[in-house]
Amino acid sequence: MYDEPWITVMAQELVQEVTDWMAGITLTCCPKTQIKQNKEQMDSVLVCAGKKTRISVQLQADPQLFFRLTQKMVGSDPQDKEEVQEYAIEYVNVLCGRFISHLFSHWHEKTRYFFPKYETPPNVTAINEKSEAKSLFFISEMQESVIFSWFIEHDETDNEEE
Amino acid sequence: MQTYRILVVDDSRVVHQQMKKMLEGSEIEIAGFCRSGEEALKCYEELRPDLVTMDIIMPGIDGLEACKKLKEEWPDANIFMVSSMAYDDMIDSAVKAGAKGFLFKPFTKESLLEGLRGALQAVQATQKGEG
Repeated sequence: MYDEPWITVMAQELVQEVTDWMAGITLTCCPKTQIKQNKEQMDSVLVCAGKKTRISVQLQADPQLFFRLTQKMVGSDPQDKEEVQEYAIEYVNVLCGRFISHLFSHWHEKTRYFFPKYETPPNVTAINEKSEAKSLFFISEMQESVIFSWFIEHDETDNEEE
Repeated sequence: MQTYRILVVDDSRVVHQQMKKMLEGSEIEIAGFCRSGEEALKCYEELRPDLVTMDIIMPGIDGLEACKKLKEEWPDANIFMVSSMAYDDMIDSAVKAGAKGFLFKPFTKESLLEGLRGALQAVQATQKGEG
């Protein structure tokens, strides 16, 4: 149920569509071996959601991609790194909102959604190192690396009701 | 041309800047901007806008809770939810909380204007019916 191929296809399409729509940046799916940066060089935005079924979703990227995304959305150079983080959070918020909505709608489950968190190395949560996590790798037209990962766990003992 | 005043409630400055850009030159003016549900409850009394756009995911009380509280305090408040959480359960919750409509992120200038104009026209029609 949580490892179905349609989730990976949907994730890839969403990442590419939302990134193009919001910032006009083209992301091409690629093998892991094409990712130039290692995790110590990538910033991250992490989102968690769920009740009985819990999901963690993370977008890691070359900081230059977040800078360029902000530049394109604002129409000028960002004022400071806080502005870049704010735009990155909104971008990932929209992307993950769509991704999580598709999943919980398909599963016919209610969800609780938690506020996104911006992380910089070395304090980046390593979702893609969990064995059950799924990851997609992308490269932009300016050779910036992006990793989109998700990790789903189900807690049958959670009897919390709305 | 009649102008309408809206209150934008969203924790993200990004959304405020986007909406400001997209609504420039239109009949819809942003009367105020709040970054939380709690702030919105205070601002509403002061501004009494024609419409409130409300994000759902915010620190503190979320947009659905803020919508319920606004409607309890001001039953004639008109609230329009704006979120990326585009699924049936969320939309149902928004309607139960008293929202008049729902706009999905990311929005374009066209979808924003269409959504807000539709909501404002519905508000006007209701007010004329009551008058």
